[in-house]
Amino acid sequence: MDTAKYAALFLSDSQEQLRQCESVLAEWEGAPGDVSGVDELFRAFHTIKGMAATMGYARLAAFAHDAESLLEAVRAGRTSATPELAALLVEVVDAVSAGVEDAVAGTDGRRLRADLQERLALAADPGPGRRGAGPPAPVASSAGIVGGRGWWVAVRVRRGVVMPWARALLALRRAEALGTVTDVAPSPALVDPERFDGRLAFRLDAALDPADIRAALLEVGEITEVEVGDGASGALESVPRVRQEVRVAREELDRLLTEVGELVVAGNRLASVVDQRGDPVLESLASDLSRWTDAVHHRVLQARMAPASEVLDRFPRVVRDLARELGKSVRVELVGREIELDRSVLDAIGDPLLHLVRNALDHGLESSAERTAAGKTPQGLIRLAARRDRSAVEVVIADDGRGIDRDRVRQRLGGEALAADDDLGLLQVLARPGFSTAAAVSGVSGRGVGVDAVITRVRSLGGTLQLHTVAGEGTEFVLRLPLTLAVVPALVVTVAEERYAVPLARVAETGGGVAEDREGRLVVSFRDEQLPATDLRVRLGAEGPSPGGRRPFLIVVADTGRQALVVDQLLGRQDLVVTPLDRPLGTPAWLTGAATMADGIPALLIDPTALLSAEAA
Amino acid sequence: MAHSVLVCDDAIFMRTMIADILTQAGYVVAGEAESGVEAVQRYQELKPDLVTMDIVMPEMGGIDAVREIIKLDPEARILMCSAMGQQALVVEAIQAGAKDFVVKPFQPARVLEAVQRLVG
Repeated sequence: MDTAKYAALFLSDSQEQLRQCESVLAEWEGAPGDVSGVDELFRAFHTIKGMAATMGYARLAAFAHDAESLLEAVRAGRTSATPELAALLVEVVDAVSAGVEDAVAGTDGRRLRADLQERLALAADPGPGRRGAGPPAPVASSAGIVGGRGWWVAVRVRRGVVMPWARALLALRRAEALGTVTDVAPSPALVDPERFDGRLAFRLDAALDPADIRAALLEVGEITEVEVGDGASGALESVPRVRQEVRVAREELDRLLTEVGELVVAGNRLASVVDQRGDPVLESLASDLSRWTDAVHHRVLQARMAPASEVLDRFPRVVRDLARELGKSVRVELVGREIELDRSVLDAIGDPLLHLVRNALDHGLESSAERTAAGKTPQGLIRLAARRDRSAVEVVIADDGRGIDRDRVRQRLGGEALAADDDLGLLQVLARPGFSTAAAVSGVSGRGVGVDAVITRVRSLGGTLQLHTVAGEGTEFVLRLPLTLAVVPALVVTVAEERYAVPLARVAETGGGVAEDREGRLVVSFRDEQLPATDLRVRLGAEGPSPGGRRPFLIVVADTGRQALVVDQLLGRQDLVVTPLDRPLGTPAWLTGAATMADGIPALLIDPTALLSAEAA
Repeated sequence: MAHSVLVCDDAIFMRTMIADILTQAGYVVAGEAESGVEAVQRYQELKPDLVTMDIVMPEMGGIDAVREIIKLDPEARILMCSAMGQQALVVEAIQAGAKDFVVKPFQPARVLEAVQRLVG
């Protein structure tokens, strides 16, 4: 399109809109709280957005869009028309004014400041949760059938079109003009337009041939498929059914999972008994049983899944409120909102995350003035990212603040030799109960950093916490948790005839060799590495001397790095349903649970991280 | 005979652009309106074959204008001109009787496709 021809028109039209904005805002300043002109402002930015987008001025259009969203929020009563808002809007009008001139001059966005746009977005964002799904559409009429034939019709809207639901609705209206429409799926009143998948089906009673119906519906445009089937033959394969949902109490689902877990264990035991019998019929039955049990187990786990957004989405608001309290300017970035996590994990990570986010805001991020002086953007950033891999969930909490001040940590330790030079050592110091470097006790995160509380919680969940911090650049915590907190894939070992299980997520590798004593420290050689080793036999206080010679070991990744855990025997991998111990006094913290194995013999679950750090202490 | 069109939008810029697209394709722009109220008045005067209707306009928005025009003429062919992110409003307009919609920023080909679907 020859946009040059329209540039002059764009300029004059936009300037006219902006002049109106200015007069509305001048009135606001005289009578704060009076929002009578808000519609006019909204329209002005909306119009400028539309024109800018058409001209291809993407930056200006985006900026105007944010201004429009803010005014939409004011119109809807989600944001109130304070004098601060009026002042912000005056700035915005000036910015758009400059933006219009720049856009026409061929330098779109030159003077549009990102920080102003952030403030706009911040003022407009009503917090977590998106707006609802528009007004409900009328449900298709179910009037009597007169002289027609019943057809099943399935329609598909072209993938990737904008507003697919509006498109589908046009097809539906077209069908209503042909005859009587009933049994619409998905039901128009229940559709969330933002999630509509483009497939619509309904029953059409009309005195027409399938070919006529097809042709009529294809005329709607952006419709790629129309299938028409005989009403008598029932629904088409592709008819999307409305998703039916039933609410189930969380505890019920937990109980179901535990019970299915026990079923899995019982199945394993059966399988091992059947193995010894050598009866092919029994074997086949046991294998069927095992397959179906696994399927049910998987299904139950799926049912417990929910998107990470359930936890992450509340943080922008939390951060905004805290930032205001602290007088800091902060932007929140969420990554991996759509990642599906087990309910138990979602419930468990909320508090540790909140703790770490508060720390980041209170201690990590500097004031705008400090940031500017340090040559950073005035606005700080907190990033929350969720991801999962085969065996674990990771949540990263990162800020671009000042980093943890190692000198201050050293001062606080008062000359004590400190391993705080690397991140691991630093984390261990921070994790000491009650350790604080805070110069002042702030109202936000209480006394000091409080990483000890977080680390204790994370360990109790079978997870680990990692720290990366760079002075002047920021701090990152990585929280790693098992995929689900109920069934634990574990490596089972024996030590002094007893069985112990170590979560597989914590075992990096296994090996074997002779543990050597070097200056009072046990060391094993594994490939090219010399790893510090712990003899589990000694650690568990088993009677009798450790057998000499070659023994198997597990390489575990503890907070302090890779270490070897020397055992008597490796029994292999098993999925264990872990039940918490009712902990008699004196139970070591690294015994985290108990599980019954396939042959009915119990095993204790060991947390190697806790075990090894208890050793270090 | 060439089909006649009533172009409704509060921005001259948009009206000019739509009018140019339509005129170049051989349609006749019978009139323009810059508010919902004016759109309804001009529809009665001009009885155009097609109306292009902006959603956000002063003095009665596009959706109310669709309702009024459909009351006057249930067969009226109205093409909504919407911005991105206004699906809920477009759905409302369709329920009010609009026959099709195009989304800004306009691609002339898309606009003409929609117009042809409505009036040939």
